[in-house]
Amino acid sequence: MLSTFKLLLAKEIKLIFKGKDLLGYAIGIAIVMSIAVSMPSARIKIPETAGSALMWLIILFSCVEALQRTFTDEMSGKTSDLMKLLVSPSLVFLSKVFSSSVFTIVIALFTTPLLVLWLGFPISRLPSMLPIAVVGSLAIGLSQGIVSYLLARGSSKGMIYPLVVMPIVLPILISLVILTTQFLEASSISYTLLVVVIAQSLAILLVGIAFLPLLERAV
Amino acid sequence: MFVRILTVLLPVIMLPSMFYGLMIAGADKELGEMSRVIYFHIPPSWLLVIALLVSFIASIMYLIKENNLFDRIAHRSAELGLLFSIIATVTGSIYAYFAWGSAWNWDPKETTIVVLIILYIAYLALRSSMTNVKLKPKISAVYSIVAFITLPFLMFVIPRITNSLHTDGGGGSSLTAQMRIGIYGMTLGLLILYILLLNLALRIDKKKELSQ
Amino acid sequence: MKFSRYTVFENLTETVESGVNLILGSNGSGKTTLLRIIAGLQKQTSGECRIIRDGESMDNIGYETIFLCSPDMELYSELTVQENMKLLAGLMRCNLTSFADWRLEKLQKKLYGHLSSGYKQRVKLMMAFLKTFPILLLDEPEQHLDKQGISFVTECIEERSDNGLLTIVATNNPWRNWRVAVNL
Repeated sequence: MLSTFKLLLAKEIKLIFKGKDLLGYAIGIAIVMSIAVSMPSARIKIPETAGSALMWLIILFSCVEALQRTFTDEMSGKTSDLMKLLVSPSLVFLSKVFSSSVFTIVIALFTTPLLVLWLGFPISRLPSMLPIAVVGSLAIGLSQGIVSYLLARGSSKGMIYPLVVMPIVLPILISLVILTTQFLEASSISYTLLVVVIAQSLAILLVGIAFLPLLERAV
Repeated sequence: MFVRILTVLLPVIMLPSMFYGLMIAGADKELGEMSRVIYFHIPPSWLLVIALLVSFIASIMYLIKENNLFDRIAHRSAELGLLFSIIATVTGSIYAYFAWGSAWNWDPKETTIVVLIILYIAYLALRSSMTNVKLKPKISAVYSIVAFITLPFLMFVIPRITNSLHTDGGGGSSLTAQMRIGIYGMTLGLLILYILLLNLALRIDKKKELSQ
Repeated sequence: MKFSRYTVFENLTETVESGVNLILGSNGSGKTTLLRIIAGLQKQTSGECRIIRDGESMDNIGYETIFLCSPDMELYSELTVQENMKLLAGLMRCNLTSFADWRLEKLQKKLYGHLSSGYKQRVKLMMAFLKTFPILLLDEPEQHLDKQGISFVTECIEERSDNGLLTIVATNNPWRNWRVAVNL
């Protein structure tokens, strides 16, 4: 099972980074939005909370296209039946969720130093910010995965992705903003909140894995 | 028969509880008469958890048994849960205005209930956006389960680890014994109302299905 | 089997054993649907499909037992032919066969999405015969193939039959002297 998962994950990462349009789009959005928030606030001190919120919103917004397409490409590209014949749907799901998390992490690692620098926060905070950027991106990727899958599976009409995914991700996002603020202020870190973030995203992921076979029972 | 008994019980329990809470039970010393809004805030808060729990369980049962009744229960119970959450939010805002000087304070509990409302609006939006009749109940069921999983974090964990205006994270330890009687009575009444509304909605759904 | 109010086929009762079995039918007769039901990708409206091995009914058909190759299926357009086949060989837990057998040796580094329909079909068939599945379902395998391609596929199918394996082929017209199991 582990070797199958590794194969699938390698395939997903290859696909997500090979099609450079997704990466280019995400980086482009991240840069444009970072400039848009940094330039007007050039000579005023942005509160750490606002800076954290902007950082996570930019990361999320940059990755929305990639996250949304994680599963839709498989469905529309007609490869999903092939995968169903060869591997468990749970493994395919896991590989896609982790690959989209990797993508989000890459964008977060790119965006975080950019914003710390451009918003005028102390560079010395950066080394402690990067782990939270990684953990937060992983949490976002894991928690939005099942909903992305449901939308792709149901071939939902209209641009419903933000409406349906954001409520799931929002509590995690709020917690991440609080945590990132604590890192930026170098104040005491609420490790309980960090555990809550990880626990919530893992709980959602486990629900997805547990109920996916029931969803995929031949319709 | 059961429905008839409940229909009779509803006013028998609800009206006296309301009367007791509004007229007889002592008011909060600091807030005065305005504190009586909690009889319309706490019971809906509890009922929303029950309604969403029923939706959650029905969703799991649907995925296992693939019986459409469970899908209908999950759907209608989620709708009722949404209704209760809106009532709880509005009455909570009234309480907040008098207790803390502002109708909205971004208190963790206030925030989490807004997220909950958005979650279940999203559930209903997801259901209505699906055209595949076979997949719609399955997908809705999984989303309902995922939405419910976030509930403990939203309602119980996060308010307790962040600074909340709600006393004891909203556990209600500052309520007097008299207030509790009124609140429990109202909760029981609302529970009966919930069951009756759910039953009515399911009967309407069944009729629609038969006519198709 | 019904889709909404449209019945594709009904009252279908048939038993197939090892060897090559044909499902004949014109366009829209339900050949692909029937194969998908056998493969477990779709559920029949009513009735049952049972796979019996050594006299025992298999309730849980593993990934090692049955495979379907259909025109509806595609491989990954953004991966090369070689990358696709390596992935599939890894998932099937078998070794890669020769690309030359399917005349694909010069196209290994080409993106699957850039291939012509004929070469895509060759890649799909190479995938189908990569592993020796006890049951192989082929949906119009002759589609887009030239004479050499059809000849090679026929050889592969007959080799399976000689080895006592079950192959079900859905096609528009009778093929060789293979048994017609179902005529839709």
